[in-house]
Amino acid sequence: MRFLVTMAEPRHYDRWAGLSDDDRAAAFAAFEKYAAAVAGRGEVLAGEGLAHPGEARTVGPGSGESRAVTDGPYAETAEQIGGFFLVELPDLEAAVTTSRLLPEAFSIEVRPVVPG
Amino acid sequence: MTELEDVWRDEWGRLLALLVAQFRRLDLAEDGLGDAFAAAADAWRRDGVPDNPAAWLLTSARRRIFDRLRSEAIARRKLPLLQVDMALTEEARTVMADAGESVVDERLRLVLLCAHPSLAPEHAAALTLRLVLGVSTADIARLFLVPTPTMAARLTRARKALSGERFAVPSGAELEARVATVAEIGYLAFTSGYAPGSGVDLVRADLAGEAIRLVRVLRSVLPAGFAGAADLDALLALMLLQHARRDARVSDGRLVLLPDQDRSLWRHDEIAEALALLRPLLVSGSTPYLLQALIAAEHAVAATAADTDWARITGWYAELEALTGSPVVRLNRAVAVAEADGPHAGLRLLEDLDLPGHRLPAARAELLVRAGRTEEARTSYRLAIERCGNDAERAHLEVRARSLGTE
Repeated sequence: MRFLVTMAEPRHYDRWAGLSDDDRAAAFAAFEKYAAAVAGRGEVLAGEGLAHPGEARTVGPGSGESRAVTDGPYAETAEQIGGFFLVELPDLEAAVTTSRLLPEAFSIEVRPVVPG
Repeated sequence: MTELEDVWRDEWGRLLALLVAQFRRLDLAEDGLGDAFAAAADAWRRDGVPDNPAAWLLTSARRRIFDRLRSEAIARRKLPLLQVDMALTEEARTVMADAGESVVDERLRLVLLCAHPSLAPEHAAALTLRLVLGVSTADIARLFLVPTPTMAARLTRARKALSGERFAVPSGAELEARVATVAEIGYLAFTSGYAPGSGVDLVRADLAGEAIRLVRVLRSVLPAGFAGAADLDALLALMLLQHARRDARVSDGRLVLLPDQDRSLWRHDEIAEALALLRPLLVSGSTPYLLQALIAAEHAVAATAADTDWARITGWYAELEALTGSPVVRLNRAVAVAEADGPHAGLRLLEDLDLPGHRLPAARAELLVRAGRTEEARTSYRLAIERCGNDAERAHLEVRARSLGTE
C-alpha cells in the first residue's frame, strides 16, 4: 500500500530558521531513522521539503481563464506543511508506527493513496 | 537599483566566503546568497534599504540554506562537504552582522580554492569571477564568448570538482604557488578581455575591469609581508597601463594601433597609479610581469609615439625573452628592435621564428613594407588575413594590404 505522509507544525518556517544547530542535526537524524525504518518494511518512493507557503499559488475552481489565482496556500492555517513522503508499506499501522520516528515538532498526517 | 548593485559588488565575495565557511558547500552558499539578493531586489524596493544590508542578506541567505538542508535531509541527498577547520565553521556560524559585528573576511580562502590545481585555468577563471566577484553566469558566458548553458555547465563541473577540497589558506611555498595561479587566472581573464580570439567584439573592457578588481581583492586579503606581493603590484600596474588605453584602442569599430592612438584619450589617473606601483619595484628582481609593466610604462610616459624610448624597451624585451624563452616575446621584441634599429634588424629576429596564428605574418608584413620589400609584404599579409579569426583585426589587415596597391 502507498501512503502520503505530510508533516506540519505551527509557524514551521520561522521556527526552523531559529533552531540551534543541535536541534537541526536532531531533525536530520530523525529523517534518517524514519527512512531506515521504512526501508526495513517497504520503500520510500519520494520525499521532498516544501518551500514557504507564501511562495504557493492557489488556483481556484472554475474553468480555464476564469479560475482565479491567489497567493498563498488554499488553507490558511497556523500549521504549515514543511515536507512530505510518499512511502510503500504493508499497512496503515506500519505507516503510523514508522511516522513516530519523524522530528518531534511535527504533527503528521498519514493518508492512504487510493490504489489503482 | 544601484544601491543593491553596490552592495553586490562590495559584499558578495565576503558574504559568500562566510557562508562557505559555515555550510561547507559552494553550491548551497552560492544559491542561498543568489536567492537572498533576488529577494532583496523586491523587499528593498518595497520597504527601503535596510540599515545593515550585509546583515539582511546574511540572515536571508542562511534561512534559504536551512530550508535547502531540510529538503535534502528529507530527500536523503547527501553531498560531499569541503574540509573546513572546525573553529572557522564555528566562527562563521556565530557571526551576527546585524549586531554590528563586522563580517570576517574569508575571501582569501575562496580565491585560493578557485585557483585549485585540479581546475583548468579558464575554468578556474570563470569560477573565480562567479564566486569571488559575483559576476552573473550570463555575463561570464558573454565575456568568454560561449553560450550561457555551456558556461553554467562548466561552472557546475568546476564546483563539483572542488566539493571535497580544503577551504584553507596554505602556508609558505604552497601559498605562493596558489597566489601565482590566481595572478595567472586574473591575467588570463584580463587578456581575454583585450584579445578575443574571434568575433566582432574587439574590446570587452568590462572583463578586463573585473580582472583588475580580482587582483585588487587578492592584494587586499593577503597576509602582511607576503613574499609575492611585489609581483602582484607589478601585475596590477601592467593591467592598469594596458587598461588605461581602452578608449583609444577602437575608433568606429576599427582597431587603432598604439602609435596611432589619441593619447589624450588614455586614462592618465590610472597610468599615474601604475607608475606609483612600479617605482619601488625598480630595485627588486625582474619578473615577467614587472618587465612587461616597465615596457607598457615606457609607452605610457611618451608624450607622442615619436618620443618613445625604443632602446630601453628593446633592453627589457631582451631580458624578458631570456627569462621566458617565449616566441611571442621574441615577436614583440623584433617589432621593438625594428623601431630602434630599423626593419632589417627586426626581420632578422623573426627569421627562425615559428608561431601559429596571424600575428607573426602580420608583423613580418609590416616590417617588409618598411624595408621596401613590397612583394614579400603582400604574401605575408595574405597569410595573416587567412589566419586571422577576429573581424576587426582582419579588417585592419585588409586595409593595410590594400594600401600597398596591386602588383
